[in-house]
Amino acid sequence: MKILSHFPAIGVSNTYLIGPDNGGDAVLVDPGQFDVELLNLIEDNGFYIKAVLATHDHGNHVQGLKTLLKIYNADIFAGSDHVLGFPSTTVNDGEIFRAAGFDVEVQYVIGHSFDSRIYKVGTVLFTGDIISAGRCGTTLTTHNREFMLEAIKEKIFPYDDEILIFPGHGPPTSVGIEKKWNPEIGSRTNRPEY
Amino acid sequence: MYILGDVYEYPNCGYSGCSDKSWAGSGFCKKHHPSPENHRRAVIEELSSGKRSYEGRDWSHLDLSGIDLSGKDFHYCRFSGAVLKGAIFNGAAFLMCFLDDTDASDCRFEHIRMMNGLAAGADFSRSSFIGSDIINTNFIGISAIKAIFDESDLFYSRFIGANLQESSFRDCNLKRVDFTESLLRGVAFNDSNPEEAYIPRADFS
Repeated sequence: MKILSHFPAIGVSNTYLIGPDNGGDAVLVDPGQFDVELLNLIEDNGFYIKAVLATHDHGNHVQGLKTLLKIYNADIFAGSDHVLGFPSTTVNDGEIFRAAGFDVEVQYVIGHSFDSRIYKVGTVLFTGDIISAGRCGTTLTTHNREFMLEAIKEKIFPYDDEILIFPGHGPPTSVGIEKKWNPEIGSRTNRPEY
Repeated sequence: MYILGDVYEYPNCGYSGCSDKSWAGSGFCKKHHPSPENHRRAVIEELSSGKRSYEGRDWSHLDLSGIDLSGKDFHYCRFSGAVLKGAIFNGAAFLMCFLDDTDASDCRFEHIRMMNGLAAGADFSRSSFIGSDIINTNFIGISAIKAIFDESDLFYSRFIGANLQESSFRDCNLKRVDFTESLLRGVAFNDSNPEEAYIPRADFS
């Protein structure tokens, strides 16, 4: 399995590509922008996008669907039955499904968006806007925030420390690193006491 | 860019009945490896050869102190927990590489290119990153006391909760760099753009 990441200049949302080592059917996570660089990445690796995993239906994570679906006949999996107006298959908390030949485990983490989903493929979690390196996602209310932070501890922190987190924004991190260093929910910081 | 799956599979030790993780890509944990020192020497020999590019390799928890890896290209390689004290990486490239929890104090990373890196929790004290492009890299929780990042582009990198006392960020691009809750006592930002960085709850005292 290969996992490729794409960091577009516009929107600075991460897009990830999961495919077999020698080309074939592949999965795209969060097509925020579909630019030439992403198209080349797909084609140069001999991939055909068979499935799209949307972490949530916010424009900077799914806007690229419009272009993508003109090129590839892909099924969309998401937390609702439509994404950007396109029909999608709703996947629910705890579900495991196959997408382009890969097993995908789903978690629903409340707070950032009503349809937020986290996907686990192999040893990698794709967390969208729920958690990124040292940060947790934005929420509309403090009430939602409390729910989201609790859900992160309940659903993400039980994974092994080595499990990687590939977020919707920012650099990669891991479960262990967030458990330790995330200022909102981690156990320690590196600041000396005064 | 891509990640080779194997690097992230964390295979277990090949010794019957042992459930510990394999050490430094050797197939065994350090306890059950028939000759850890030979493995370390073989890795150092390979790294010191004329070979320039390395892809999808695992050198976690190895002692590579003082090694000179100038000008090498590392793609999707793992140095997690390695001891790199005094090592030289001038002009090297790191694409989606892991240096988390390394002891990288007193190192020279001058004029490096690092993209989508994971270096959280590492110790970079007294190390130099002068003239580097370090984009979208995870430095959360690092210790980098008296480190030098001068003349570097650090776009979108995160130093959340880092101890950066007396470090220097002169003439740097700090656009969207995140210093939330970092310790910035004695840090120099001359000729840089901290106005475009996130610095909430940082401690300058």
